[in-house]
Amino acid sequence: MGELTVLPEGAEVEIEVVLMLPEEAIAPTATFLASTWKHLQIKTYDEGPGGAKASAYFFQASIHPNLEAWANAD
Amino acid sequence: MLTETRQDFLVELRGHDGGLGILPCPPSVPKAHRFQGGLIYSRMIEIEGRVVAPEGLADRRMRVWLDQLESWHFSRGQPPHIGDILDRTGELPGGGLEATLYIPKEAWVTAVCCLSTVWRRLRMTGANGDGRRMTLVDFSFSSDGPPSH
Repeated sequence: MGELTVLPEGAEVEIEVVLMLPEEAIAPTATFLASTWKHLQIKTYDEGPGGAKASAYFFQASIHPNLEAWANAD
Repeated sequence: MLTETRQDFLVELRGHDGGLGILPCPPSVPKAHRFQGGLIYSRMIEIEGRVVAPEGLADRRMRVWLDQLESWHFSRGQPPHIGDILDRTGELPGGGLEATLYIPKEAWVTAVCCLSTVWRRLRMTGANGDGRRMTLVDFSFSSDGPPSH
């Protein structure tokens, strides 16, 4: 359903993420991205130096209190 | 608290979250409820609300869940199941008033847009209260501002 790629040093961004969305979710996603969502949580597998594959993802306006310590960790 | 035969509710909308989550589906989930054969696709939106009316519940928090109306919400001989109002106080940490609303698929994109821009209030009518649950009879969203005190 998606993957994370660690880009070469010197690239404009460090990590690039591609996520596949259900077709019917495209329009709501555009609205939510512009208005509501501030965080993206991705669960990964097959992690390696070059990146990882996504096994789950969630878009959110706020970080759940149970995850705050984890999300703010280095 | 939800004991009335019929009760009107007015809820102020304070924010919302969620709307898109994809995750692997456990084998226990029936195939009919899976997305693409092996995934769970959650489009559910969580709204943070504050009860304005009835007076007995005023100022209490209400968590409102929005999801899409599916075919299984309709059955012969019974009104469509468009949602519930629940009082889950004491059931879970942070548990309290909750409402689940099912809206037509055709209205989903409009609802997402209006929720982010226009809607500020939710009116609901509940019926057949048994103390913990009421069946939702009707609901409507509007842009009316909060009441002046």
